[in-house]
Amino acid sequence: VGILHRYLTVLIIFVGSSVRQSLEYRTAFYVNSALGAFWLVWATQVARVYYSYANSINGWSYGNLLVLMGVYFIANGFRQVLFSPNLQRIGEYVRTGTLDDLLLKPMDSQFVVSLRYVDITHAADPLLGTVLVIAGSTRSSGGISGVALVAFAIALLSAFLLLYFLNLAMQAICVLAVSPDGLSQLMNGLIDSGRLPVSVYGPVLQAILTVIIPVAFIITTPASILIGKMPASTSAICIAFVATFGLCARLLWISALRRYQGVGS
Amino acid sequence: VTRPLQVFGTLVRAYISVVLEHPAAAFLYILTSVFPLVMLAGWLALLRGGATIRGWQSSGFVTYYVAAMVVNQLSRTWVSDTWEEAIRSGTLSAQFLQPVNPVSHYLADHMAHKVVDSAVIAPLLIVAISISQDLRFTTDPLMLILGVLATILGSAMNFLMALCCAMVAFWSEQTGQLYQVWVGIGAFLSGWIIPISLLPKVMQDIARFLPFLYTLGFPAQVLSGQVRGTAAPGAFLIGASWTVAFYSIYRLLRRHGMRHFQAVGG
Repeated sequence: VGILHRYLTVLIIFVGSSVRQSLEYRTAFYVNSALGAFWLVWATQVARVYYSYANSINGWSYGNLLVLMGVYFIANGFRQVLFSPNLQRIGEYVRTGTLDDLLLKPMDSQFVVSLRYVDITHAADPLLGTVLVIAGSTRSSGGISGVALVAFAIALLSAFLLLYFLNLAMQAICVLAVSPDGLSQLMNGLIDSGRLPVSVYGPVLQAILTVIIPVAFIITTPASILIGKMPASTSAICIAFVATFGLCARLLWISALRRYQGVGS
Repeated sequence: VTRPLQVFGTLVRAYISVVLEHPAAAFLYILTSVFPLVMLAGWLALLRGGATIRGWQSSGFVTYYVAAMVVNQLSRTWVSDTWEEAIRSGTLSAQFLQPVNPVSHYLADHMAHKVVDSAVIAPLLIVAISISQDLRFTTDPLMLILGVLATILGSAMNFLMALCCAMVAFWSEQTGQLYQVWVGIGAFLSGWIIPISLLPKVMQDIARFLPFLYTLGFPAQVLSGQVRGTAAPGAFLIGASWTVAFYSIYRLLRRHGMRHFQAVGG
Protein backbone atom coordinates (compact mmCIF):
# COMPACT_ATOMS: atom_id res chain seq x y z
CA VAL A 1 0.00 0.00 0.00
CA GLY A 2 2.92 2.30 0.78
CA ILE A 3 4.32 1.85 -2.73
CA LEU A 4 0.96 2.45 -4.36
CA HIS A 5 0.52 5.62 -2.31
CA ARG A 6 3.96 6.85 -3.33
CA TYR A 7 3.27 6.26 -7.03
CA LEU A 8 -0.12 7.91 -6.75
CA THR A 9 1.42 10.97 -5.09
CA VAL A 10 4.04 11.27 -7.81
CA LEU A 11 1.39 10.82 -10.50
CA ILE A 12 -0.61 13.70 -9.03
CA ILE A 13 2.54 15.85 -9.04
CA PHE A 14 3.21 14.90 -12.69
CA VAL A 15 -0.30 15.85 -13.75
CA GLY A 16 -0.25 19.02 -11.66
CA SER A 17 2.99 20.28 -13.17
CA SER A 18 1.79 19.53 -16.71
CA VAL A 19 -1.49 21.30 -16.13
CA ARG A 20 0.21 24.34 -14.63
CA GLN A 21 2.55 24.45 -17.59
CA SER A 22 -0.26 24.38 -20.12
CA LEU A 23 -2.26 26.99 -18.20
CA GLU A 24 0.31 29.42 -19.54
CA TYR A 25 -1.22 28.77 -22.96
CA ARG A 26 -4.92 29.24 -22.30
CA THR A 27 -5.68 30.28 -25.86
CA ALA A 28 -4.31 26.97 -27.11
CA PHE A 29 -6.86 25.18 -24.93
CA TYR A 30 -9.81 27.17 -26.31
CA VAL A 31 -8.59 26.95 -29.89
CA ASN A 32 -8.01 23.20 -29.63
CA SER A 33 -11.46 22.68 -28.11
CA ALA A 34 -13.01 24.60 -31.01
CA LEU A 35 -10.88 22.57 -33.38
CA GLY A 36 -12.08 19.34 -31.74
CA ALA A 37 -15.68 20.39 -32.36
CA PHE A 38 -14.78 21.23 -35.97
CA TRP A 39 -13.29 17.75 -36.57
CA LEU A 40 -16.31 16.15 -34.90
CA VAL A 41 -18.72 17.85 -37.30
CA TRP A 42 -16.31 17.08 -40.12
CA ALA A 43 -16.36 13.37 -39.27
CA THR A 44 -20.17 13.24 -39.22
CA GLN A 45 -20.27 14.90 -42.64
CA VAL A 46 -17.74 12.42 -44.02
CA ALA A 47 -19.96 9.59 -42.76
CA ARG A 48 -22.96 11.21 -44.44
CA VAL A 49 -21.20 10.86 -47.80
CA TYR A 50 -21.67 7.08 -47.63
CA TYR A 51 -25.24 7.28 -46.46
CA SER A 52 -26.25 9.40 -49.42
CA TYR A 53 -25.58 6.23 -51.45
CA ALA A 54 -26.70 3.45 -49.07
CA ASN A 55 -28.68 2.90 -45.87
CA SER A 56 -26.04 0.88 -44.09
CA ILE A 57 -22.40 -0.13 -44.28
CA ASN A 58 -22.00 -3.80 -43.33
CA GLY A 59 -25.18 -3.52 -41.27
CA TRP A 60 -24.17 -0.26 -39.53
CA SER A 61 -26.81 2.46 -39.83
CA TYR A 62 -25.92 6.16 -39.68
CA GLY A 63 -26.88 6.27 -36.00
CA ASN A 64 -24.71 3.24 -35.32
CA LEU A 65 -21.77 4.83 -37.10
CA LEU A 66 -22.20 8.01 -35.03
CA VAL A 67 -21.78 5.90 -31.88
CA LEU A 68 -18.61 4.44 -33.39
CA MET A 69 -17.32 7.93 -34.26
CA GLY A 70 -18.09 9.03 -30.71
CA VAL A 71 -16.06 6.15 -29.27
CA TYR A 72 -13.28 7.06 -31.73
CA PHE A 73 -13.24 10.63 -30.37
CA ILE A 74 -13.31 9.48 -26.75
CA ALA A 75 -10.47 7.01 -27.26
CA ASN A 76 -8.42 9.29 -29.49
CA GLY A 77 -8.98 12.22 -27.13
CA PHE A 78 -7.71 10.28 -24.12
CA ARG A 79 -4.78 9.09 -26.20
CA GLN A 80 -3.86 12.66 -27.06
CA VAL A 81 -4.29 13.88 -23.50
CA LEU A 82 -2.56 11.11 -21.57
CA PHE A 83 -0.36 9.03 -23.86
CA SER A 84 0.83 10.91 -26.97
CA PRO A 85 2.75 13.59 -25.05
CA ASN A 86 4.88 10.82 -23.57
CA LEU A 87 5.37 8.98 -26.85
CA GLN A 88 6.45 12.24 -28.51
CA ARG A 89 9.23 12.68 -25.97
CA ILE A 90 10.77 9.21 -25.96
CA GLY A 91 12.88 9.83 -29.07
CA GLU A 92 14.32 12.91 -27.40
CA TYR A 93 15.02 10.97 -24.17
CA VAL A 94 17.11 8.49 -26.13
CA ARG A 95 18.90 11.04 -28.30
CA THR A 96 19.82 13.43 -25.51
CA GLY A 97 20.56 10.78 -22.91
CA THR A 98 17.74 11.88 -20.61
CA LEU A 99 16.65 8.24 -20.53
CA ASP A 100 19.76 7.33 -18.51
CA ASP A 101 18.77 9.96 -16.00
CA LEU A 102 15.21 8.63 -15.83
CA LEU A 103 16.45 5.06 -15.30
CA LEU A 104 18.36 6.19 -12.21
CA LYS A 105 15.25 7.61 -10.55
CA PRO A 106 13.93 5.55 -7.63
CA MET A 107 10.74 4.70 -9.52
CA ASP A 108 9.82 2.12 -12.10
CA SER A 109 11.17 3.34 -15.44
CA GLN A 110 7.93 2.43 -17.23
CA PHE A 111 5.97 4.66 -14.87
CA VAL A 112 8.22 7.69 -15.33
CA VAL A 113 8.52 7.30 -19.09
CA SER A 114 4.87 6.61 -19.89
CA LEU A 115 2.96 8.83 -17.46
CA ARG A 116 5.16 11.90 -16.99
CA TYR A 117 3.23 14.37 -19.17
CA VAL A 118 -0.40 15.12 -19.92
CA ASP A 119 -1.65 17.55 -22.55
CA ILE A 120 -4.92 19.05 -21.40
CA THR A 121 -5.34 21.16 -24.54
CA HIS A 122 -7.18 18.17 -26.06
CA ALA A 123 -9.32 17.52 -22.97
CA ALA A 124 -12.53 18.56 -24.75
CA ASP A 125 -12.33 15.70 -27.29
CA PRO A 126 -13.58 12.91 -24.97
CA LEU A 127 -16.49 15.12 -23.88
CA LEU A 128 -17.40 15.90 -27.48
CA GLY A 129 -17.15 12.18 -28.26
CA THR A 130 -19.55 11.38 -25.41
CA VAL A 131 -22.09 13.81 -26.87
CA LEU A 132 -21.79 12.01 -30.21
CA VAL A 133 -22.24 8.59 -28.57
CA ILE A 134 -25.45 9.81 -26.92
CA ALA A 135 -26.70 11.41 -30.14
CA GLY A 136 -25.92 8.26 -32.11
CA SER A 137 -27.52 5.87 -29.65
CA THR A 138 -30.78 7.83 -29.55
CA ARG A 139 -30.88 7.53 -33.36
CA SER A 140 -30.18 3.78 -33.23
CA SER A 141 -33.24 1.57 -33.11
CA GLY A 142 -33.96 -0.32 -29.90
CA GLY A 143 -33.20 1.10 -26.46
CA ILE A 144 -29.95 0.56 -24.61
CA SER A 145 -30.16 -1.83 -21.70
CA GLY A 146 -28.49 -1.25 -18.35
CA VAL A 147 -26.41 -4.40 -18.84
CA ALA A 148 -25.12 -3.11 -22.17
CA LEU A 149 -24.19 0.18 -20.52
CA VAL A 150 -22.17 -1.53 -17.80
CA ALA A 151 -20.49 -3.80 -20.37
CA PHE A 152 -19.76 -0.70 -22.49
CA ALA A 153 -18.07 0.97 -19.51
CA ILE A 154 -15.91 -2.13 -18.95
CA ALA A 155 -15.00 -2.34 -22.65
CA LEU A 156 -14.14 1.38 -22.72
CA LEU A 157 -11.94 1.01 -19.66
CA SER A 158 -10.15 -1.87 -21.36
CA ALA A 159 -9.76 0.35 -24.41
CA PHE A 160 -7.96 3.02 -22.34
CA LEU A 161 -5.62 0.40 -20.89
CA LEU A 162 -5.01 -0.99 -24.38
CA LEU A 163 -4.13 2.49 -25.65
CA TYR A 164 -1.74 2.87 -22.74
CA PHE A 165 -0.01 -0.43 -23.43
CA LEU A 166 0.05 0.19 -27.18
CA ASN A 167 1.77 3.49 -26.44
CA LEU A 168 4.23 1.73 -24.14
CA ALA A 169 5.01 -0.83 -26.84
CA MET A 170 5.67 2.02 -29.29
CA GLN A 171 7.97 3.65 -26.73
CA ALA A 172 9.85 0.37 -26.37
CA ILE A 173 10.25 0.20 -30.16
CA CYS A 174 11.54 3.79 -30.11
CA VAL A 175 14.20 2.83 -27.57
CA LEU A 176 15.18 -0.20 -29.66
CA ALA A 177 15.28 1.57 -33.01
CA VAL A 178 16.23 5.10 -31.89
CA SER A 179 13.86 6.28 -34.58
CA PRO A 180 12.83 9.92 -34.77
CA ASP A 181 9.40 11.02 -33.65
CA GLY A 182 7.80 9.34 -36.66
CA LEU A 183 6.17 6.65 -34.50
CA SER A 184 3.94 9.19 -32.82
CA GLN A 185 2.81 10.41 -36.25
CA LEU A 186 2.32 6.80 -37.24
CA MET A 187 -0.05 6.24 -34.32
CA ASN A 188 -2.03 9.31 -35.36
CA GLY A 189 -2.40 7.82 -38.83
CA LEU A 190 -3.16 4.24 -37.86
CA ILE A 191 -5.87 5.14 -35.36
CA ASP A 192 -7.76 6.63 -38.35
CA SER A 193 -8.63 3.08 -39.36
CA GLY A 194 -11.02 3.04 -36.38
CA ARG A 195 -13.32 5.56 -38.06
CA LEU A 196 -15.11 2.60 -39.65
CA PRO A 197 -16.07 -0.75 -38.09
CA VAL A 198 -13.16 -3.15 -38.66
CA SER A 199 -15.48 -5.56 -40.46
CA VAL A 200 -15.16 -3.43 -43.62
CA TYR A 201 -11.52 -4.39 -43.99
CA GLY A 202 -10.19 -7.58 -45.58
CA PRO A 203 -9.37 -10.62 -43.41
CA VAL A 204 -5.61 -9.92 -43.14
CA LEU A 205 -6.10 -6.28 -42.16
CA GLN A 206 -8.81 -7.29 -39.71
CA ALA A 207 -6.43 -9.69 -38.02
CA ILE A 208 -3.74 -6.99 -37.74
CA LEU A 209 -6.27 -4.46 -36.42
CA THR A 210 -7.45 -6.98 -33.83
CA VAL A 211 -4.20 -8.34 -32.44
CA ILE A 212 -1.25 -6.06 -33.28
CA ILE A 213 -2.79 -2.59 -33.44
CA PRO A 214 -5.97 -3.53 -31.61
CA VAL A 215 -8.27 -0.85 -33.06
CA ALA A 216 -10.99 -3.52 -33.07
CA PHE A 217 -10.88 -3.77 -29.27
CA ILE A 218 -10.31 -0.06 -28.73
CA ILE A 219 -13.13 1.31 -30.89
CA THR A 220 -15.31 -1.21 -32.73
CA THR A 221 -15.98 -3.53 -29.79
CA PRO A 222 -17.12 -0.94 -27.20
CA ALA A 223 -19.40 0.65 -29.81
CA SER A 224 -20.79 -2.75 -30.85
CA ILE A 225 -21.53 -3.68 -27.23
CA LEU A 226 -23.38 -0.42 -26.58
CA ILE A 227 -25.67 -0.72 -29.60
CA GLY A 228 -26.23 -4.42 -29.04
CA LYS A 229 -24.33 -5.78 -32.02
CA MET A 230 -22.21 -7.79 -29.62
CA PRO A 231 -23.43 -9.44 -26.38
CA ALA A 232 -22.49 -7.83 -23.07
CA SER A 233 -20.37 -10.86 -22.26
CA THR A 234 -17.87 -9.72 -24.92
CA SER A 235 -16.47 -7.33 -22.33
CA ALA A 236 -14.96 -10.36 -20.58
CA ILE A 237 -12.95 -11.07 -23.74
CA CYS A 238 -11.79 -7.43 -23.68
CA ILE A 239 -10.43 -7.86 -20.17
CA ALA A 240 -8.64 -11.08 -21.07
CA PHE A 241 -7.15 -9.45 -24.15
CA VAL A 242 -5.92 -6.39 -22.25
CA ALA A 243 -4.22 -8.61 -19.69
CA THR A 244 -2.38 -10.51 -22.43
CA PHE A 245 -1.53 -7.43 -24.48
CA GLY A 246 -0.38 -5.53 -21.40
CA LEU A 247 1.90 -8.35 -20.34
CA CYS A 248 3.48 -8.46 -23.82
CA ALA A 249 3.99 -4.68 -23.82
CA ARG A 250 5.59 -4.79 -20.37
CA LEU A 251 7.95 -7.59 -21.45
CA LEU A 252 8.81 -5.64 -24.62
CA TRP A 253 9.66 -2.58 -22.51
CA ILE A 254 11.89 -4.60 -20.17
CA SER A 255 13.73 -6.27 -23.04
CA ALA A 256 14.13 -2.91 -24.80
CA LEU A 257 15.79 -1.50 -21.69
CA ARG A 258 18.06 -4.51 -21.44
CA ARG A 259 19.20 -3.92 -25.02
CA TYR A 260 19.54 -0.21 -24.37
CA GLN A 261 21.86 -0.73 -21.42
CA GLY A 262 23.84 -3.08 -23.64
CA VAL A 263 24.39 -0.22 -26.07
CA GLY A 264 25.34 2.18 -23.32
CA SER A 265 27.97 0.04 -21.64
CA VAL B 1 21.46 33.89 -62.01
CA THR B 2 23.27 30.58 -61.64
CA ARG B 3 24.67 31.36 -58.20
CA PRO B 4 21.32 31.28 -56.29
CA LEU B 5 20.41 28.11 -58.17
CA GLN B 6 23.68 26.49 -57.13
CA VAL B 7 23.04 27.44 -53.52
CA PHE B 8 19.53 26.07 -53.73
CA GLY B 9 20.76 22.83 -55.32
CA THR B 10 23.21 22.38 -52.47
CA LEU B 11 20.44 23.01 -49.94
CA VAL B 12 18.23 20.35 -51.54
CA ARG B 13 21.10 17.85 -51.50
CA ALA B 14 21.82 18.66 -47.87
CA TYR B 15 18.18 18.13 -46.89
CA ILE B 16 18.06 14.85 -48.82
CA SER B 17 20.95 13.66 -46.65
CA VAL B 18 19.01 14.71 -43.57
CA VAL B 19 15.94 12.76 -44.70
CA LEU B 20 18.10 9.72 -45.46
CA GLU B 21 19.50 9.72 -41.92
CA HIS B 22 16.39 7.76 -41.01
CA PRO B 23 15.57 5.63 -44.06
CA ALA B 24 12.99 3.58 -42.19
CA ALA B 25 11.09 6.75 -41.34
CA ALA B 26 10.51 7.39 -45.04
CA PHE B 27 8.62 4.09 -45.21
CA LEU B 28 6.72 4.77 -42.01
CA TYR B 29 5.58 8.18 -43.24
CA ILE B 30 3.53 6.46 -45.92
CA LEU B 31 1.49 4.82 -43.18
CA THR B 32 0.79 8.13 -41.47
CA SER B 33 -1.97 8.94 -43.95
CA VAL B 34 -4.02 5.79 -44.37
CA PHE B 35 -7.21 7.87 -44.47
CA PRO B 36 -7.83 7.34 -48.24
CA LEU B 37 -7.61 3.58 -47.67
CA VAL B 38 -10.16 3.84 -44.86
CA MET B 39 -12.55 5.68 -47.18
CA LEU B 40 -11.83 3.08 -49.86
CA ALA B 41 -12.64 0.22 -47.50
CA GLY B 42 -16.02 1.84 -46.82
CA TRP B 43 -16.87 2.06 -50.52
CA LEU B 44 -15.73 -1.51 -51.16
CA ALA B 45 -18.01 -2.67 -48.34
CA LEU B 46 -20.91 -0.87 -50.04
CA LEU B 47 -20.04 -2.46 -53.40
CA ARG B 48 -19.86 -6.01 -52.06
CA GLY B 49 -22.12 -8.21 -54.13
CA GLY B 50 -21.30 -6.56 -57.45
CA ALA B 51 -23.29 -3.34 -57.12
CA THR B 52 -22.09 -0.12 -58.72
CA ILE B 53 -22.36 3.45 -57.50
CA ARG B 54 -23.14 5.90 -60.29
CA GLY B 55 -21.21 3.70 -62.68
CA TRP B 56 -18.22 3.37 -60.33
CA GLN B 57 -16.96 -0.18 -59.84
CA SER B 58 -14.53 -1.37 -57.22
CA SER B 59 -11.54 -1.03 -59.58
CA GLY B 60 -12.38 2.65 -60.12
CA PHE B 61 -12.40 3.31 -56.38
CA VAL B 62 -9.22 1.31 -55.74
CA THR B 63 -7.31 3.11 -58.49
CA TYR B 64 -8.58 6.55 -57.51
CA TYR B 65 -7.84 6.28 -53.78
CA VAL B 66 -4.39 4.76 -54.30
CA ALA B 67 -3.60 7.56 -56.76
CA ALA B 68 -4.91 10.09 -54.23
CA MET B 69 -2.70 8.59 -51.55
CA VAL B 70 0.36 8.82 -53.78
CA VAL B 71 -0.39 12.41 -54.87
CA ASN B 72 -0.99 13.39 -51.26
CA GLN B 73 2.32 11.87 -50.24
CA LEU B 74 4.03 13.98 -52.90
CA SER B 75 2.21 17.23 -52.14
CA ARG B 76 1.66 17.29 -48.36
CA THR B 77 3.71 19.82 -46.46
CA TRP B 78 4.41 20.85 -42.88
CA VAL B 79 5.71 24.30 -43.71
CA SER B 80 2.99 26.09 -41.72
CA ASP B 81 3.97 24.14 -38.59
CA THR B 82 7.74 24.35 -39.03
CA TRP B 83 7.66 28.06 -39.89
CA GLU B 84 5.56 28.82 -36.81
CA GLU B 85 7.92 26.73 -34.69
CA ALA B 86 10.91 28.59 -36.15
CA ILE B 87 9.35 31.92 -35.18
CA ARG B 88 8.52 30.72 -31.66
CA SER B 89 11.95 29.23 -31.02
CA GLY B 90 13.83 32.11 -32.60
CA THR B 91 15.45 29.95 -35.30
CA LEU B 92 13.89 32.17 -37.93
CA SER B 93 15.71 35.26 -36.70
CA ALA B 94 18.99 33.43 -37.19
CA GLN B 95 17.91 32.26 -40.64
CA PHE B 96 17.15 35.83 -41.65
CA LEU B 97 20.78 36.71 -40.94
CA GLN B 98 21.98 34.26 -43.60
CA PRO B 99 22.47 35.60 -47.14
CA VAL B 100 19.79 33.14 -48.35
CA ASN B 101 16.04 33.67 -48.34
CA PRO B 102 14.85 31.61 -45.32
CA VAL B 103 11.97 30.24 -47.36
CA SER B 104 14.47 28.42 -49.59
CA HIS B 105 15.32 26.23 -46.58
CA TYR B 106 11.68 25.20 -46.28
CA LEU B 107 11.27 24.72 -50.04
CA ALA B 108 14.48 22.66 -50.21
CA ASP B 109 13.23 20.54 -47.29
CA HIS B 110 9.88 20.05 -49.05
CA MET B 111 11.58 19.02 -52.31
CA ALA B 112 14.06 16.73 -50.56
CA HIS B 113 11.20 14.84 -48.91
CA LYS B 114 9.44 14.51 -52.26
CA VAL B 115 12.56 13.14 -53.96
CA VAL B 116 13.02 10.51 -51.26
CA ASP B 117 9.29 9.74 -51.10
CA SER B 118 9.17 9.20 -54.88
CA ALA B 119 12.04 6.75 -54.62
CA VAL B 120 10.24 4.89 -51.83
CA ILE B 121 6.81 4.90 -53.48
CA ALA B 122 7.85 3.86 -57.01
CA PRO B 123 8.88 0.27 -56.19
CA LEU B 124 5.91 -0.18 -53.84
CA LEU B 125 3.59 1.01 -56.59
CA ILE B 126 5.09 -1.34 -59.15
CA VAL B 127 4.61 -4.28 -56.80
CA ALA B 128 1.04 -3.18 -56.04
CA ILE B 129 0.15 -2.85 -59.74
CA SER B 130 1.53 -6.27 -60.56
CA ILE B 131 -0.35 -7.92 -57.66
CA SER B 132 -3.70 -6.15 -57.81
CA GLN B 133 -6.04 -6.52 -60.74
CA ASP B 134 -8.14 -3.60 -59.53
CA LEU B 135 -5.30 -1.11 -59.76
CA ARG B 136 -5.63 0.26 -63.29
CA PHE B 137 -3.73 3.47 -63.85
CA THR B 138 -3.85 5.11 -67.25
CA THR B 139 -1.61 3.47 -69.83
CA ASP B 140 -1.81 6.38 -72.26
CA PRO B 141 1.72 7.89 -72.23
CA LEU B 142 0.38 11.42 -72.80
CA MET B 143 -1.97 11.14 -69.82
CA LEU B 144 0.83 9.69 -67.68
CA ILE B 145 3.02 12.68 -68.48
CA LEU B 146 0.12 15.03 -67.79
CA GLY B 147 -0.49 13.21 -64.51
CA VAL B 148 3.11 13.67 -63.40
CA LEU B 149 3.02 17.35 -64.41
CA ALA B 150 -0.28 17.82 -62.56
CA THR B 151 1.26 16.21 -59.46
CA ILE B 152 4.26 18.55 -59.59
CA LEU B 153 1.98 21.57 -60.06
CA GLY B 154 -0.18 20.34 -57.19
CA SER B 155 2.83 19.89 -54.94
CA ALA B 156 4.11 23.39 -55.73
CA MET B 157 0.68 24.93 -55.22
CA ASN B 158 0.12 23.10 -51.96
CA PHE B 159 3.46 24.34 -50.66
CA LEU B 160 2.63 27.94 -51.60
CA MET B 161 -0.86 27.63 -50.09
CA ALA B 162 0.62 26.39 -46.81
CA LEU B 163 3.29 29.07 -47.02
CA CYS B 164 0.60 31.77 -47.16
CA CYS B 165 -0.85 30.25 -44.02
CA ALA B 166 2.62 30.14 -42.47
CA MET B 167 3.00 33.90 -43.00
CA VAL B 168 0.03 34.44 -40.70
CA ALA B 169 2.36 33.26 -37.93
CA PHE B 170 3.85 36.76 -37.94
CA TRP B 171 0.61 37.91 -36.32
CA SER B 172 -0.87 34.83 -34.62
CA GLU B 173 0.36 31.86 -32.59
CA GLN B 174 -2.40 29.52 -33.76
CA THR B 175 -1.31 29.10 -37.37
CA GLY B 176 -1.15 25.31 -37.15
CA GLN B 177 -4.82 25.15 -36.16
CA LEU B 178 -5.80 27.68 -38.84
CA TYR B 179 -4.13 25.50 -41.46
CA GLN B 180 -5.92 22.42 -40.09
CA VAL B 181 -9.32 24.06 -40.56
CA TRP B 182 -8.31 25.23 -44.05
CA VAL B 183 -7.26 21.71 -45.00
CA GLY B 184 -10.30 20.18 -43.30
CA ILE B 185 -12.72 22.29 -45.34
CA GLY B 186 -10.65 21.77 -48.46
CA ALA B 187 -10.82 18.00 -47.96
CA PHE B 188 -14.43 17.93 -49.21
CA LEU B 189 -13.57 19.85 -52.38
CA SER B 190 -10.13 18.40 -53.12
CA GLY B 191 -11.21 14.81 -53.67
CA TRP B 192 -9.51 13.67 -50.43
CA ILE B 193 -12.75 12.28 -48.98
CA ILE B 194 -14.69 11.43 -52.12
CA PRO B 195 -13.91 11.64 -55.85
CA ILE B 196 -15.47 14.94 -56.91
CA SER B 197 -17.48 13.33 -59.69
CA LEU B 198 -19.52 11.69 -56.90
CA LEU B 199 -20.32 15.05 -55.29
CA PRO B 200 -23.57 16.90 -56.06
CA LYS B 201 -23.35 18.88 -59.32
CA VAL B 202 -23.26 22.28 -57.59
CA MET B 203 -20.34 21.23 -55.38
CA GLN B 204 -18.48 19.91 -58.43
CA ASP B 205 -18.81 23.27 -60.17
CA ILE B 206 -17.62 25.13 -57.08
CA ALA B 207 -14.71 22.73 -56.61
CA ARG B 208 -13.58 23.23 -60.19
CA PHE B 209 -12.86 26.91 -59.57
CA LEU B 210 -11.27 26.59 -56.14
CA PRO B 211 -7.63 25.65 -55.60
CA PHE B 212 -8.07 22.46 -53.53
CA LEU B 213 -8.94 20.13 -56.42
CA TYR B 214 -5.66 20.86 -58.19
CA THR B 215 -3.55 19.89 -55.19
CA LEU B 216 -4.97 16.36 -55.07
CA GLY B 217 -8.08 15.24 -56.92
CA PHE B 218 -7.17 16.43 -60.39
CA PRO B 219 -3.74 14.76 -60.56
CA ALA B 220 -5.28 11.60 -59.08
CA GLN B 221 -8.05 11.60 -61.69
CA VAL B 222 -5.57 12.06 -64.54
CA LEU B 223 -3.33 9.25 -63.25
CA SER B 224 -6.28 6.90 -62.85
CA GLY B 225 -7.53 7.72 -66.36
CA GLN B 226 -10.80 9.25 -65.17
CA VAL B 227 -10.37 12.56 -66.98
CA ARG B 228 -10.52 13.24 -70.70
CA GLY B 229 -7.43 14.82 -72.26
CA THR B 230 -9.54 17.72 -73.56
CA ALA B 231 -10.31 18.79 -69.98
CA ALA B 232 -6.62 19.07 -69.12
CA PRO B 233 -5.73 22.53 -70.60
CA GLY B 234 -8.53 24.28 -68.69
CA ALA B 235 -7.62 22.51 -65.46
CA PHE B 236 -3.93 23.35 -65.80
CA LEU B 237 -4.86 26.98 -66.47
CA ILE B 238 -6.95 27.24 -63.30
CA GLY B 239 -4.29 25.42 -61.27
CA ALA B 240 -1.48 27.62 -62.58
CA SER B 241 -3.52 30.78 -61.91
CA TRP B 242 -4.04 29.77 -58.28
CA THR B 243 -0.33 28.98 -57.97
CA VAL B 244 0.54 32.49 -59.17
CA ALA B 245 -2.14 33.94 -56.90
CA PHE B 246 -0.78 32.15 -53.83
CA TYR B 247 2.74 33.30 -54.68
CA SER B 248 1.54 36.93 -54.82
CA ILE B 249 -0.36 36.54 -51.55
CA TYR B 250 2.74 35.05 -49.94
CA ARG B 251 4.88 38.01 -51.11
CA LEU B 252 2.33 40.48 -49.83
CA LEU B 253 1.88 38.80 -46.45
CA ARG B 254 5.59 38.41 -46.03
CA ARG B 255 6.35 42.06 -46.73
CA HIS B 256 3.80 43.23 -44.16
CA GLY B 257 4.61 40.42 -41.75
CA MET B 258 8.31 41.22 -41.71
CA ARG B 259 7.59 44.73 -40.46
CA HIS B 260 5.47 43.26 -37.69
CA PHE B 261 8.08 40.60 -36.91
CA GLN B 262 10.89 43.17 -36.65
CA ALA B 263 8.67 45.23 -34.40
CA VAL B 264 8.24 42.23 -32.11
CA GLY B 265 11.93 41.49 -32.29
CA GLY B 266 12.60 44.98 -30.98
